[in-house]
Amino acid sequence: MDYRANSYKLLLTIGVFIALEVISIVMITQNSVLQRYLIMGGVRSTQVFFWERSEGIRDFFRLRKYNQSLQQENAELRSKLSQVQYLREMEPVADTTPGLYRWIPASIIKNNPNKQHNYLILNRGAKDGVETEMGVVTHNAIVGVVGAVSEHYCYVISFLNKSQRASAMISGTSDFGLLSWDGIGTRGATLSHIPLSSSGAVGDTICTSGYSTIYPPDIPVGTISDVDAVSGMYKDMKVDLFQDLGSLKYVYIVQRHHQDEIDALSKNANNK
Amino acid sequence: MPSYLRQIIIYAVVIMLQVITNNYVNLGPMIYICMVPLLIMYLPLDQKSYISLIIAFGLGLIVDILSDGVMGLNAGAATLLALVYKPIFYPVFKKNTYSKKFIPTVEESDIWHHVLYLLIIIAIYFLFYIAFDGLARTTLLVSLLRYLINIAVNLALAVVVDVTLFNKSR
Repeated sequence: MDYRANSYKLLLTIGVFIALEVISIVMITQNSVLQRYLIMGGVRSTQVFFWERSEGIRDFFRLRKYNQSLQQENAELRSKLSQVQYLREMEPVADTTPGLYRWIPASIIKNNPNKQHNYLILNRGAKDGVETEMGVVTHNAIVGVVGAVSEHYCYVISFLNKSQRASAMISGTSDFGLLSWDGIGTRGATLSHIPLSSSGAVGDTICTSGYSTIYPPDIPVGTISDVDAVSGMYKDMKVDLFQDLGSLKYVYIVQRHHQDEIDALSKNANNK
Repeated sequence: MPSYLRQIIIYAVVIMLQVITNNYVNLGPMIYICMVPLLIMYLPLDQKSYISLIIAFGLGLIVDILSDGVMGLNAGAATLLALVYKPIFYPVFKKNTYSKKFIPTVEESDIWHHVLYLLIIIAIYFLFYIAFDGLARTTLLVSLLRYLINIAVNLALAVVVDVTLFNKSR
């Protein structure tokens, strides 16, 4: 009798254990950072109130750094502008194209760079035209992808997230691969699956390739710091990022024009 | 104050301290402060195993919801630990199954057995946590480094919390 009772207890324990572990693993596999954000939606509005104030204090002490970054960005934009003006003077054709991308300036309310799964909250939402799957960048960094949108705010899955990948290439070549965070610091990344024939070397600049519709092309993001041949099949390159993603304040949310058309085309092609 | 109520308050304080530390102190992406193994260690040994599993799962889920992490990671690791903490306890403290009322505080056991027990349960906890926190997406070396750093940091902190909160409360 005692033996039977013990057997039942053991079976019950094992059953409960398996059930709880299955629930846990299902939650883990369902990209739960976003899940938790949605579950905690009600609490978020209160948290945002405090985040805005605490970030305000931090921003005050970072003003010098922000100014330097904005000055540098301005200089680059002026340089590009003068190039465009020069080209227009050389070939005076009426240009009616709105550009490939729409840029929405935003500032960061919450940036949490000290986890393995990081995220940001930006002060732009659905009322500003922000939608999920839009890219977030600066003039020299990939910041992340919009994961969820409320009326006034959006939640961005940071590039400092092991599930995030971006298509990037070695500047001046046609060699491209997948850029991902190294999971160690806020300035380290790995460019993987580069062909063995690539001439990319330490010191070369890495920029976005534009092969995905999320990030615009030619944003310089870092330089190669080490090259490693993997299994004799391809190269992995360590990349030092230009921008410390832990100390950002201003970013751009980007949307490619005709995104819906491209998505529909891809869907149709996949269905055939 | 009844002892169970005192224990619930201590558990709540420890969880809040853990959540605040992880959310507001920048310790870098490699370190994750987690006191859940310590809380599971102090679950009553004479409690039915399936109840310990459910409590541990609940504790882990609360931490998952309050932290900026992946939901299910702490819940899964805590559940695994709740299954094995009793079978590990008896050989480490050299107690037989009849001494279930024994509470493994530093005052009631010697410090080395206590630290050894903490080391084993923290190692098991982080084995699950790091394995499911994207082992396939990062190199084995980085995961191993992260594992060892977290065991060392959390063991040191767990001993401090244990001595200051759990022993003085009894």
